[in-house]
Amino acid sequence: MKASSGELPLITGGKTLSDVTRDVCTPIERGPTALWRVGMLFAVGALALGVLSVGYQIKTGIGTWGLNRTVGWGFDITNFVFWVGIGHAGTLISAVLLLFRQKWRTSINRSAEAMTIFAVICAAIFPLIHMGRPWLAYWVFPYPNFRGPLWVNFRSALLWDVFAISTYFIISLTFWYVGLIPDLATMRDRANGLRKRILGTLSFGWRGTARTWSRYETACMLLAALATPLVVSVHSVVSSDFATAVIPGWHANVFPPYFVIGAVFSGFAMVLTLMLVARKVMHFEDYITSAHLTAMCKILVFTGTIVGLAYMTELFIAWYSGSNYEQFVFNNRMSGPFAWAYWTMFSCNVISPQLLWFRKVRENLFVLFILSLVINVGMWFERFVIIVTSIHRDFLPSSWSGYVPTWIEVGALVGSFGLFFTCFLLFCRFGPAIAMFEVKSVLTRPVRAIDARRSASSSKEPSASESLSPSSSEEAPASDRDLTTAGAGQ
Amino acid sequence: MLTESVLLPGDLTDPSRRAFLQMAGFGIASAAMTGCSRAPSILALASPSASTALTPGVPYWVASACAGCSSSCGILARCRDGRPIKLEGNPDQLATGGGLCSTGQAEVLSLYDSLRIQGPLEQGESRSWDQADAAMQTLLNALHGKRGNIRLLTSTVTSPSTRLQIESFATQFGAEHVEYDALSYSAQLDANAATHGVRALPRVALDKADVIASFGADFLGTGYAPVEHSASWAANRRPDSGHMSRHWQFESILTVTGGMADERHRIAPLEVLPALAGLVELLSCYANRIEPTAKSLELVEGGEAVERLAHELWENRGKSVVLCGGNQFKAQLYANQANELLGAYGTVLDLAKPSYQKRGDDRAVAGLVEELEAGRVDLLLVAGCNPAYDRPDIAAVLGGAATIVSFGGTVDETSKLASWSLPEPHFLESWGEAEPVHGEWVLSQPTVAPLFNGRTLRESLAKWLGDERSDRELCDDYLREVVFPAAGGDAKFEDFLALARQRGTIEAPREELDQPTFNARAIRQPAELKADTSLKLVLYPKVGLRDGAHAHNPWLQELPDPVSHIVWDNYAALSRAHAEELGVAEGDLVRISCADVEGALELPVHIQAGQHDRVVAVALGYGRIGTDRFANLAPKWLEGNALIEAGETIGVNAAPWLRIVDGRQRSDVLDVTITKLDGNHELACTQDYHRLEVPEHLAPKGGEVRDVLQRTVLGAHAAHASHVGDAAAVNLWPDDHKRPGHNWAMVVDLSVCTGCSGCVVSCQAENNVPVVGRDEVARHREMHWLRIDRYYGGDDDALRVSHQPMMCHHCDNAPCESVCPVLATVHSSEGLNQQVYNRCVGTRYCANTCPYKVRRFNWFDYPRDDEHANHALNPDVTVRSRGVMEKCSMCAQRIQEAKNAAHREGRAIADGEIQTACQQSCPTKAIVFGDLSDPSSDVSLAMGRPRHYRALEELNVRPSVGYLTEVRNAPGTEASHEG
Repeated sequence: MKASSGELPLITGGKTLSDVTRDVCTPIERGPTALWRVGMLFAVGALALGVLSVGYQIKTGIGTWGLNRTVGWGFDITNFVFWVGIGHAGTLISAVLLLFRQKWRTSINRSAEAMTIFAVICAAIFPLIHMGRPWLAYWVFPYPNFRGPLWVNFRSALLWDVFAISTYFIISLTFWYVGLIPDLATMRDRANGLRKRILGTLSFGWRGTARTWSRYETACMLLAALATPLVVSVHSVVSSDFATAVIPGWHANVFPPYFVIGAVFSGFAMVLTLMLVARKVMHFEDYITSAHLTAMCKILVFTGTIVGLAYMTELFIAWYSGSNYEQFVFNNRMSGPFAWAYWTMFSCNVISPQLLWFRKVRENLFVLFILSLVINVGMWFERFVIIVTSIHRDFLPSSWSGYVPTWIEVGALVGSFGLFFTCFLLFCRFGPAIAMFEVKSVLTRPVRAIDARRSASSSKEPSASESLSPSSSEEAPASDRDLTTAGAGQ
Repeated sequence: MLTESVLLPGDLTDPSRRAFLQMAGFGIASAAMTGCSRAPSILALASPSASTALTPGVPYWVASACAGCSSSCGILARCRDGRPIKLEGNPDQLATGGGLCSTGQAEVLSLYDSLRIQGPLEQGESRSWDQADAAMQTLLNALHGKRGNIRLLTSTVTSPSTRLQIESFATQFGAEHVEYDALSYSAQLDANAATHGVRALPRVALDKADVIASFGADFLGTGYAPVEHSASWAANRRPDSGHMSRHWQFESILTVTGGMADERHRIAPLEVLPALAGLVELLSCYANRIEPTAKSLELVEGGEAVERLAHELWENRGKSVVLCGGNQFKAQLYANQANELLGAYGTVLDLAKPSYQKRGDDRAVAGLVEELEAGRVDLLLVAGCNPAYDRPDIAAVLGGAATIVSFGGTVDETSKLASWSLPEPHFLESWGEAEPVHGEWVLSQPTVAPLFNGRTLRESLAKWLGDERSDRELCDDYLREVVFPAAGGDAKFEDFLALARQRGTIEAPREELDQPTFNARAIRQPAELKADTSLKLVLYPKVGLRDGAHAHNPWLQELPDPVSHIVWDNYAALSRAHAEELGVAEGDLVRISCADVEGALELPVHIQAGQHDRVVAVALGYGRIGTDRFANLAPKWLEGNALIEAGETIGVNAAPWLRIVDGRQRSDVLDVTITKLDGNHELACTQDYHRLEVPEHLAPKGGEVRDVLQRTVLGAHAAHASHVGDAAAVNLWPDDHKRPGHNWAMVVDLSVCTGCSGCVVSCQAENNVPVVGRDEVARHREMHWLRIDRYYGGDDDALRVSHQPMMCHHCDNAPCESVCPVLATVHSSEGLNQQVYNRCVGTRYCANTCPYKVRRFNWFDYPRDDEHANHALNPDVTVRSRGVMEKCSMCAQRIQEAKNAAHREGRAIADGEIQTACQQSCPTKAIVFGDLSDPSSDVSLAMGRPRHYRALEELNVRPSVGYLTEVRNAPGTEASHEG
C-alpha cells in the first residue's frame, strides 16, 4: 500500500487553499444540477420500488419471496452480507489508511465514510425484514425484560451480528461526523441566516484554534484506532453466520479472513464506482486524480488476488478434507445448477481485477468504471453462491431444491440500491463530499510563507509535512474564513 | 365401564349441567339439530378413559368402524366436548392390529365437510324427511301396483343389517339389488365362485407365507384390505431372526407393493395371463414330477424370472401364495389353480372364513345397463357409490332411469342427476356395523350429534317398508338376532352389546364355512394366449384418493403420492425410455387417444421409474366435479398461482377410459396412442431428486452414494449382525446432556416401511398441519411435519424403492438450537427439541442448519376460513401463525397427557403407553417410540439391534431418532446400497 504519492500529484490544477474551499462549497451552495436531479430521480424511484416491495412483503408474508423449505435464505442475506462488505472500504480508508498515514486517502475518505454509513444502513435493513415477524425484531436486543430466563441466545451468530453491526454503525457514524466538523464550520463561515445557524449547531461552534485542532487530531487518531479492529471484526462475525453452521460449504475455518478481504475488495470497487461518478458529476477532476485511481486499482489487484487465493483454498480444503459432503458442495458449485453463478463470481472477482496490472486499463476511466461494476456484481454473486449453492443441496437428496427469486425480492434489492444512492446524492448535495481540510494538507503547489500561528501546531503531525516539500510554506489564506479550517497541524 | 350420555336436546331426560356443556361445546350441532328429530344417540365409550367422558375439555375415546372404504377397519375416535378430533386404528381389532390408512385418518375432516348435503333435496330444493317419505311412499306404491322395475345400485354393502333391509325391500317391492365396486374385484370373486363355489375374497394370512408372488396386486397400497395385509405382510418381514419372507412382484406400473418387493419385474399388462399360465404349467410339472417346461412363457419378456419363481414357490409349497391383481377372470383362475397346486388354500388363503370387503358383480351391472338402455328402469336408488363418475357403462345410460334417487352425502356427479337426494349421514355420526370378514364384526356408533339432517339407507328403506324402528334399533336387532346367539355366550344381550360397543369389535366362533374344495373343471378351456406389443393405457387408484370418493378431502389431495410424491394432480406416467422416445419431459402436456373412445385425455407427463415401456398410466379418482371448491385454499399473492379456477376440476377424470371386457370392468386393456402437445403444466412434487446416488458428474470419489438410508440384503445382514459393536462412537466432548427422567427416542424400521403414508395424514390431523395447495408445494413449501423420503435404487428393470420417514430428529447437539438468536428452539431435559412458537421471530436460520431439513416455516397465514373444517383442529396443539417455524414435536401433547395421568395416579408411565400419532397409525408397526432411560423399553431394545443406525451420525448431532437398516431378501451377502 505504499501508494501513489511519489509519482503523480495528488491534487492537480494548481489549486490554492481558497480554490479548494470554493470548489467544494460552491456546488453545495449553488443548488442542484440537472445531472444531480436525474440521478436523484432514479435513486428515489428505485427506493420507492423497494419500499413498495418490502411493504407488500411485510403485509403478506415471507412467502412472497422465492424461498422454500430447503433454501431459507436467498437474496435477503446475500444483500445483507454484500452491503456490509461495501461498508468496509470506508472504514479501511478513513481509519486504517489514516493510521498508516496514506496521504492519498484525503480526497476520497469523506465519501468513502459516507458510503460506509449508508451501506451499513442498507445492510441492517435486510436482517430485519427477512424475519417472519419483523415487528418483533426488537427481541434480538438483550434489553431488560420480565420474561425470566428467556433472553437472547449468546451462542447464536445472528446475535453476534446484532452486536457487530450496531457497534460498527455507531463507531463509523461517530468517526464520520467528527471528520465533518471542520468542514461544516467552513461552510458555516460562508453561509448566512438560518443556514448559518444550522451549520453552526452542526459544527458545534468550531473555532479552529490551535488547541481545538490539537484535540481534534488526537480524537481522530483515537477513533481511528477504535475503528480499525472493526474492519476485521465485523465481517469476521458476519462470516460466523455461516462458519459456525453445520452445513457443508458454510462450515469453513477460512471464512473470517476470506470475508474480510472480500469486503475490502468489494468496498474499494464501490468507492471506485462512486468516485468516478462523483468526479464527473461534481467536477472534482482535480481532486480525484489519476494518483487516487491508481492507488485504488493497486488495492483492487491485491485484494482480488487474495480473494482468488481464498477460493482456491476452499477448493483445496474441500478436496483435502476427504469429506464427501464438502467435496460434493464444491463440485455442485462448479458444475451444478448454479454453476453459472459460480463462474460469474469467479470471472468477475478473480480474472477481471487482473486486468488492472495494465496501465492502459488503469488509465481508461470508462474501462475502470465498468471493471468496478463487474467486481461489485462478482462480489454480490460470491455471497449468493456461498449462501444458496450450499443449502440448496445439502445432506439428504430428498430435500434438494432450487431457488428462483421473485420480483418482490428483486424489488427489495433494487430498493436497497435506491436507498443507498438517495442517501449518497443527498449527502453530495448538502455536505462536503471532499474533506476540504484534509485535502488542503496535501496541496503540492509552492505557497507563500505562513504566518506564525502555523508553527505552533506543526509538530502535532510531523509526518504530515513530509509530503510537502521541505521548503514549502503555505500560501496565506485567501480569506479569513479559511483560517478556521485550513491549517492546524500543517 | 359403560357410560351412557344423552346427546340430543329433544331427548334430554336429565338436562344436567354436564350434558348441557357438552351440547354447548359444539355450536354447529345445536344449530343443525333444531329441525332434527333423530333417534337419541346413546353413546358407549371405549374403555380407555370412560370415566372422564363427561368433563368438558377432557378427551375420551369412542370405538367405531371406518367406512372410508369397504375394508371396514375398526377405529377409535378421540373426542372432546362431543366431537371427534382424531381417528386411530382400534388395537383390539385382531386383523388390523390398530393401524389405519391415510384415507381413514382423513375421514375426520370429511365429517366436517361444510359442503355435505344438509337434508333431503328434491331437484335441489330443500325438503323435510316427511315430505321425502311421502313422495317416496307414493312412488313406491305406484310402481308396486304396476310392477314397475325398481333397482337399487350400491357399492359393496358391508353392513349385514343394511343387507337385511335391502332384502326386505327387494322382496316387498320386487326390487333388484346390484352391487359394484368402482375398483372392481368382480373377476376374482367370479373365479373363486367357479373354482371353490364361494363368491368371496379369501382372507390372506401373509404372515404364514414364505414366498409371496404378486402379479399386479397392490395389496399393501390400494388393495381391498391394505391395513390388514400390510400388518400380516410385515409380520414376516423382520429380518432380526434371520428369516423373512420372499416377495416377488410382476407389474406394469410401480405400486407401493411393487416397491417393497425383493424381486420386481416389469411386465406388460397382457403378459400377466401367459405368465400365470406358464407358472401353472411349471407347477403342474413339478407336481407331476415331470421335466418342467412352459410354452406360455415364450410369450413373456423375461419369462426366465417366472421359472425361478415357480421353483421357489414349489420348494415352499404350503407356505407360498400367488396373488393376482387386475380384473381378468382367466388370470384369476390361473392364480387360483397355482394356489391350489401350492397348497395355499387352508394355509395362507382362507376361504372358509372369507372376506366380504368386496362383493361387486360386474355381470349384474351389465344386466342393469341393458335395462337402463332399454328404458325399463322406473326407479333407480343409488347409495354409497357414484356411477355417473366412476362407472362409464352405467353413466352412459343413466338417462334411461325414469327416476333416480341418490343417497350420497355430498353433491356428486350422480346426485346431480337425481330427482331426490336423501343424504346418508357420515359414518362418524351414525350407528352401524360391518362384517368385513366372516365372523368378525366391527361396530360403529356416533361420535358426534349429527351435524346435518341425514338418514341412513337402512333406516330409509325400513321406513318405506312401514318399519318404524330407529336406525339404532335396526342395528341392535340384527346384533341380537344374528350375532348374539353366535358370540354372546352366557351374558345378557344388553351387557354383551354394551361391551361390544365399548370394544368396537366382535369375533364370533360363528360356524366356519367348510373349506371349499377346488373344482378343477372350472378351468376347462385354457385361455387364448398371445403376445402383446401395443401401448396400453393402465388406470390405477392412488393411495388416499383411491376411486375418487375422497377427492373433496384436502388432506388427501395434498398427501404426496407414495410412488410419485406428486400432489393435487393426476398425470400420464411414462417410463423414461418411452418419454425419451416421444421427446417429452416432466410436465409436458400430451394427448392420449384411442380409436375406440371418444375424446382424448390431455395430461402432463410424469416420468415414472420402474414402469413398463409400453404402458401409460393414469390415476383414477381425479376430475371430480366441485373440486373447484379449493380455489380459495392457497395463499393469494402477486406471483401466487391459483390452485384451480372456478368450474375446473382437480386433475382429469380417467374413468371413462375403463372398458368392459367379457362383462367385467378392465383398466388395462385400451390400446392408445400418445402425441405431444405444446405447453407444460408444472406438477407439484415434494421431492426433486429421487436417488441416494448423487448426480454422476458431481459425485466425489467415494461419495457417490449418500448413506443416509442404509440398505442391505438378508445374507449380508446376517454376516454383519455377528460382529456388531465394533464402531463405538468416540465423543471428544463431555456428556453434559443429563437426562434425569425420561429420554424420549424413536426408531423406525425401514424394512417394513411401505411408504403407505397413513402416518403423514395422522400427523397432519394430530398436529393441525395446514394444507397449502399445489402452488406452494410446487415452491417446495409443503408443511407436513412428517414426510416420507423415497429413494429409487437400481435401474428400471430391477427397481428397488426405499422409504425413509423423516421427522424432527430431536438431536442432543441440535444445530438448530444454537443458531436461534431469540432462544425460540430449546432442548428439554427429556431429550426433546422444543419449538416455542410465541418466541419465534422467523429468521429461518434453524431450518437452514437442520441437516435433516425437517423444519417447516409458515410462509403465509394459511387460510382457515372453513368454520366446519376447523372443528377437526386438535385443541391441544397451537395453530401457528405466519412467520414462525414449526416442526415435529414428537407429539409433545400426548407425552404431557400421559405424564399427567401417571402423575395423578401415582405411577410410572408404562412402556408403550405413549404412542405418537405416526406410530399409532402405522399398519406395519414400523415406528417405535419410548423412553431410552428404561433399558427394557421397546425403543431401547430396538436401538440395541445390530440393524440400528442413525442417519448422518458422523455429524455428531446425536439424533434421538434411529433407523433399522432396510433388509431385502435378495441373493448375495455383500452389503450394498444398490439393492
